[in-house]
Amino acid sequence: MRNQSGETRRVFRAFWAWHDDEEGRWLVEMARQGWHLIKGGILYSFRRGEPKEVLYRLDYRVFEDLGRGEYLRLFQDAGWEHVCDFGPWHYFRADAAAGVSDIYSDTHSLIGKYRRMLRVIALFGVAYLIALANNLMPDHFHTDVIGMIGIVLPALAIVLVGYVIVRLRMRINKLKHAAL
Amino acid sequence: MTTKTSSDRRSQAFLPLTEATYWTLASLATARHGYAIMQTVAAASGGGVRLGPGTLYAILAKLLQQKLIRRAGESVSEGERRKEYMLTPLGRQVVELECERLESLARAGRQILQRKVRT
Repeated sequence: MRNQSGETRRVFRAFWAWHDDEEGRWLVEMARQGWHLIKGGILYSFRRGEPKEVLYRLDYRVFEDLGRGEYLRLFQDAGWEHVCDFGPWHYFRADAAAGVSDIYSDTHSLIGKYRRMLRVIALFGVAYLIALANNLMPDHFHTDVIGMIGIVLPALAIVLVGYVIVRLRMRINKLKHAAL
Repeated sequence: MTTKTSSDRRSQAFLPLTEATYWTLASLATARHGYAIMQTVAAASGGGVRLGPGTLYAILAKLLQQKLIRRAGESVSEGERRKEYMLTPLGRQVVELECERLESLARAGRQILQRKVRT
């Protein structure tokens, strides 16, 4: 059954943190087909509407240092509509014909975005390392299934965190290189 | 050779500024809110420099933390409140030192170029 208006659609999709530009391009493609983002991040929802040429940008901020109101006000004043948040990810949309400037106008601040991701993921890495070290302590060490899970899970998480750190560093280095 | 004061040295530590930071600081000689900064910079640069909101937000947060700018109340227009910012004396000193640095850089560069043409 299809409703004429207010029809929504849910899409499951996952992107790596350093693929935020690709995620934006996918959302642009969805908008071209008339699907406009309502909620982003893994389980996306879209509302059916007229096909439209828009731009999407994702910003990453854990804390809005100057306050959330000022943060969103600045983007809105610059022509970027705040669509939704997904944790520290903030989704913005602008009319492609409006001639807005990109949310990051220099490489220095764009690198800052990936550095913020790096800091957060590094904290997770430290937490998993502590968990692993703790579970390997002689008085906590068990050879049963629970004991093994306590070692394998944090170990896998550390490998994943390591991979994310390497990829984010590659992204930053690529940006640095392009700036020289 | 003039001896540098300690406040000069303190300001020197912030240099060189990124272009976006330079423009932001310069525009805050008078109290302005974020959008006014973008408009002022775009106009002063002949439309050549357009600060993105993500870039400007990061710069404002950093400059506040470094105490190069301070909050300067709010402006209200058409029911919309916008926080304003302004240079601190330290911020003014930093942007003035950067102007001097850029001027001497341009002067020296031009001299070298002209010498090359003559020989």
